[in-house]
Amino acid sequence: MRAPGIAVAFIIIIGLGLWLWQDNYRRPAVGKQLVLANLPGAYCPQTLWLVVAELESASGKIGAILFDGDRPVESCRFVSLEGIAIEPPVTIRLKTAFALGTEKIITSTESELSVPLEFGDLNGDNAIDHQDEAVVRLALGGKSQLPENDLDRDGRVTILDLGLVRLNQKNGQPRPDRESWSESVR
Amino acid sequence: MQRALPPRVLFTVVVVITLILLLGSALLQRVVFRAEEVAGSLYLSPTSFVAPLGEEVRLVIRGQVPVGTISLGAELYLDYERARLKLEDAQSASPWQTLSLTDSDGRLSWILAPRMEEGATTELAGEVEFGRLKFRTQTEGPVRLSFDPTKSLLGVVAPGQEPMVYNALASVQDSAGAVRADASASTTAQLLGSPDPSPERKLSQALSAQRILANEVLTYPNLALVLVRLQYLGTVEIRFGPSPEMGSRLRSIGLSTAHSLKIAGLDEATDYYFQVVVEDQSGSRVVGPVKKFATNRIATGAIDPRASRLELFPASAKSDALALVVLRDSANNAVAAQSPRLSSESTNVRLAPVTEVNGLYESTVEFIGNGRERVSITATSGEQTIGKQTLVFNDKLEERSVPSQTKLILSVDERLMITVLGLTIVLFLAGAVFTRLIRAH
Repeated sequence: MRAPGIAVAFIIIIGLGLWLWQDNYRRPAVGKQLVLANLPGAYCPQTLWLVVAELESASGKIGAILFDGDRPVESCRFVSLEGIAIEPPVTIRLKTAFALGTEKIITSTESELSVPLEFGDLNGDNAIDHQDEAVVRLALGGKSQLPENDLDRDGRVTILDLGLVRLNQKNGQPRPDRESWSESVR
Repeated sequence: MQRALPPRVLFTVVVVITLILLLGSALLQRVVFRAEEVAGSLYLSPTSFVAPLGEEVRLVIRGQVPVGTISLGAELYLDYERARLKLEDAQSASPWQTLSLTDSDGRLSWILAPRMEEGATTELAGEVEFGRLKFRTQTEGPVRLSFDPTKSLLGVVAPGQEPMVYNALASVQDSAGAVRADASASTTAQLLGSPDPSPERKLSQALSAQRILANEVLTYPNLALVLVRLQYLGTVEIRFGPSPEMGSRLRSIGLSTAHSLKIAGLDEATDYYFQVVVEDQSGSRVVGPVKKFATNRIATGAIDPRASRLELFPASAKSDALALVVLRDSANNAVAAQSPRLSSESTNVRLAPVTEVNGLYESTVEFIGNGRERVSITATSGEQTIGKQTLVFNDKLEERSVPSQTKLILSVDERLMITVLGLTIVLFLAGAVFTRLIRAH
């Protein structure tokens, strides 16, 4: 009697656990993390390049680089900073594919930092300009519908993709050392 | 050595606590990502026409761009009967620029964006004209022009919202007409087409759990706003026209239990027939009765508070509701060019400014609080109180899909049923364990 009872109870618990396990619960454990904002439509970055550097509070000059590498993006928007020794003030520069390089300066110990991204860099030169707009305009109406030109990932290049490129026209933040961003996030 | 608790009791307690923690954490961690998108629409004007053979038919493409957003452009995919009509010209309206225009096999694909000198966006909102089409009639017979709602787009930017750039298109409206050799040139509403007004899919309707809970029409000089509340998620098609044949169609795009559809391009002071047809995910249709409404005129008199009112739709909502200030004179005509205001004592709602298009005053009430709250909204115009209405916000409110007919009991709320079943089994097991313990002692 005892063994079947225990087995049934475990099955129920596991079943309930799986039922409750949904996408929006899969956030990383509490800790310092970046939350990506302004993601267009269904765009879901898998990885981004992160450079964390010390910042001299008086002069604003960038000091030693504390971290320089790629990081996984969880649930399309959460980037854990666990394992990086962050002592504010620091500057975080990051870039993901099709977005401009962005800077976030951390001056406090808050655990969640929102980072709005600007999308539209289709040729990977860390600038959104008439060249990117020309790529989207050519693709509009089905002439050159390449999946990588579909910024919002709605399945086709549309006026929404053109809108993103037109709205975000500017240059992105370079890496602190002025080197080029990694090929993987261009 | 004596144990503090028998292992069976300990096990049962652990199982029960684990279950409580699991359910509690699920409830507490539930994050509701609200879609703050506001509805836009595309339509052709006139919505119905009769044209002589070999003559021109001119149609204007218009749309409703949600107020509070900035327009990025539009992608228009329009199907028409090539055998009856031949496209001769397509002119974009100011400030639009044609980026792409193709016409093949009765499908017009037209992509419009603001002109380069206007910048990336245009401040246009509310009623917007996109362009004008000129057709020439080819052969006699009924003709329908319909937007493809799956491909057409109304691109807007909503600053401060996420996603900031989105497709605001929620409904499209067809235009129906007839080409007749003996007709005089006219684009006024006349008897059209031969749609199927017969009660369709009666069996499906009888078996479907879907119900049209409420169906109200607010009329204005050139448009009518149809508010439809459904029992379960569904799409709504409005069939309408000046005759009982109802040759024109207006369809919602998304699944919802609350639909507000604007029938635009109507004639003033004219009677129209309409019928609500609801389709759910399974394809079942519920066909409502044929009803009538009459458009009115722009009032010349002052606001009559007895004929005016405030409408909040839907009456219970998750995150936002439509607020309509209906301003009427004593003859029930729409009073235009007023500045009604909305107010609420609740700090948990955000009231958008009231905007007006030809006597239609609308705004949105956005819930920024948590949990469940009854909110009172008051509408005033000058010193006059137009109306006070209450609506219930509940951020846990879920719109349910129509239950499947074969699994009706489980589909009522499958999660609830599974939870109750699981907890009953656990309770039974715990009871059995306790009984055995008592007997053993």
